Amino acid sequence: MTFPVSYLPQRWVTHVVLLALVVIGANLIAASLRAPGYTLTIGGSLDRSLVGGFYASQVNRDGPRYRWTSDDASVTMYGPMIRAGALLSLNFGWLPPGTAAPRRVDLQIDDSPWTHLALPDQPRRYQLLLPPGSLADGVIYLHLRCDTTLVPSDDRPLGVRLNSATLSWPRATPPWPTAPMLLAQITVLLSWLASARTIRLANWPALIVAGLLLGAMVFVAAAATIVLAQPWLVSLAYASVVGYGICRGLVTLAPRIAPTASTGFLRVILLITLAALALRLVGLLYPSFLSHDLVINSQWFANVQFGTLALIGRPYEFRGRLSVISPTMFILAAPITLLGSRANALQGLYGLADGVTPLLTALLALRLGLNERAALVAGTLIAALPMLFTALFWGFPLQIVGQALSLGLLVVMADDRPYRTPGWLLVGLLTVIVFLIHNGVLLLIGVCLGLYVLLCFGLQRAEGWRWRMWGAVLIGASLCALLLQYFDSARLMLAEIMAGPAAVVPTATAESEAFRTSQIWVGLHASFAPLSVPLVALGLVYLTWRSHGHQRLLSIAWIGSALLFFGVDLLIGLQVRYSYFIAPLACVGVAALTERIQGRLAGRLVTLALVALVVAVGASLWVNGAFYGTRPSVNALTH
Amino acid sequence: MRQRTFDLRSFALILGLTAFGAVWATYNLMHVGSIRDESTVRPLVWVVFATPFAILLGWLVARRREMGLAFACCFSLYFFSFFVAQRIESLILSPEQASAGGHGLYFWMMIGIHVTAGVGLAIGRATEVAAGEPTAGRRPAPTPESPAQAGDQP
Repeated sequence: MTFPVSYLPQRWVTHVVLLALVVIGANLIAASLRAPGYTLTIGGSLDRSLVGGFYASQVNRDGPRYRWTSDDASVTMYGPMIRAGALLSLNFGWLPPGTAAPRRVDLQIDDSPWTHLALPDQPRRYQLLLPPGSLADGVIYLHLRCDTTLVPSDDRPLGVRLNSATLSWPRATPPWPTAPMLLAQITVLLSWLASARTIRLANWPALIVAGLLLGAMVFVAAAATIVLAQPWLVSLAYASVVGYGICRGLVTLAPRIAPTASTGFLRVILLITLAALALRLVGLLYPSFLSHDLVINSQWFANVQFGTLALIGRPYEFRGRLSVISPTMFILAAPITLLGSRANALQGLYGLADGVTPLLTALLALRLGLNERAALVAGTLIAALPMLFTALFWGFPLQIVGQALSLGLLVVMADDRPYRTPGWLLVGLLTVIVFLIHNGVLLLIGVCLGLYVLLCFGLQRAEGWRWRMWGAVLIGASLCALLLQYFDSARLMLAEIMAGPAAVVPTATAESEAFRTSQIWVGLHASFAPLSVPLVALGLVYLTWRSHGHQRLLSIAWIGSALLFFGVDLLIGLQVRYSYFIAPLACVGVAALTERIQGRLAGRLVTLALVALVVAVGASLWVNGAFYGTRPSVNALTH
Repeated sequence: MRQRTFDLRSFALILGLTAFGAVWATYNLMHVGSIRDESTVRPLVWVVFATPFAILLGWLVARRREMGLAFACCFSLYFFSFFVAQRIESLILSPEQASAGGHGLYFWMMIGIHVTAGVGLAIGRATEVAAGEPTAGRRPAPTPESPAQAGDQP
């Protein structure tokens, strides 16, 4: 089968102009429906990407949140394009104890001096008329500069306390949306319409309806959260263009990877993949969403950008033992920082990698012998599995990207055909990257690949190329990874072990060991929720039993690697996230169980209910985490 | 059967864009000097990214049909040069010396590796002309004398 890749009609200029008019009109309608202004609570859930030079959020005894400024702080406030008449209200709290009142605060807008305030030692609210033209581009960068005070028992030099900032504009003035926002909205719409067109989702009338729905969502978002709409939409525009590129690539590659798959199957699985990508990116790129580990990952990222590739940490997963953190993920993400922030580069990249997982899982299911419907079930299950969203929320970029690349490698391993030399070189390159990206991923996939080679050597002698070539890939990639990175890592870790484990690992008591063991079981159950562990185990056993030839050996090697590290976790507490590693195969196993009951209506309803349950739990977990800051339990990822 | 000819257009395009990328990388590195703060992040990213990206552009303009090979080679160049440059730096300087100098040697090594690889790729692609394959990405219409062959695929 072939997909046409031309996506725009010949009269595309007309369509773009019409779309722009629709977008402008919809923005004006949306703007007229909302209040002419908004209040940004400093220290609230939305301000993290909008303030600079402030200290951490604090809560007053009687409720309101606030932040202390340093000597130079800034607040970015987005609004519509207004030439004159916009008002800025600043709500200050008490001065730091021991400060001589009044404290002078110099205000600066867009790098130009504006005015100064003399703050008394009591809460005050100042309402200021913004200079004409300052909101003409739809954004103001307000700087607050003042002296600081050191108070007892606090080593922070404190400036002034800001509780909130309010931006308002006259209702009579037409609030034109800004050019970046319009451009971003048009780009988002065009990209997704083009993606839909690329996979021949529908003809043009249906696409127009879909586009209008999508547009409505964008405009509602813009109207409801004008405080964050512009940075969010600009990020989404970049992601949408990349998503379209991925869509084009997948449309070209998917029929080659699965030549026997039907057009309908490829179309639906690409649609599921695009939906998974969109769901992830909409949350990950929301400006107020910062994944839990973003601060430490950003620090490591900065080190790599400044030329330091030797990153050393003591991760919790290794029970505080010294470990070298691989710079691979940060090397891959570095060019994206030419387009956006470090946070968006990291979160966007691992969102993209994770978003492709449904397609890879479905292709794996096909290669393991499942029918197309069961493969779609497997793809949907992995797309919405809560454990994956938990990883996105907590921000484990090395594991997430490592997992996606490992899955790609395992899909290649499940192939029946030998490759030509360039193909094997590409497989080798992929294996090296997978080995380099994270210690835990290296252990899991390395053992899996090693077991697979051994099993092929012992049981598949007739197809000798398989164990020889995969053995060569394993040895070559291991040597390469050792030379490039793990030589130093091994040297450091050996020195640590020689220094004595008691130096860094607290001595375990019987109670703490019992608690740790019980937590392993808790984590295991949380990992596959809402799928139960017995169901997952049954699916894995059934999948292994029903598959044949080297695919069965691959399943055994995959399960064997996970079980081995489960045993290691039980014995010495070394965590390498074996549940996360086996999640795609677990979804394929559960999908294989549903294959048996697809012939009956009741069976299809049961399958649908199972998929709906996973989607509902996963999506609600993600939406609550990304937009409302509800932290999902990390238990699912502790093992 | 392969004939050895020199594809001057491919050579010039890949080498020219390699030079352009290297000049841009060098400009950025000289511009930031030994300063390492948030204001120098983008220039430093350009230092490590500009030349492989430029080589890729040159390669794609010269031989669009080799897109897969071009992506694989340029990605490998970009990716592995970090590790190679870091390893060379660690052989010459102690970690403290390297850190004190803002890893200047490491960044210069990166540019050097990229330029060397760019020149090698330009020569390699210019001399790698398959029988019957056009030299500048243009595909002649198949004739009874020179039928299109499956071996044209890189």
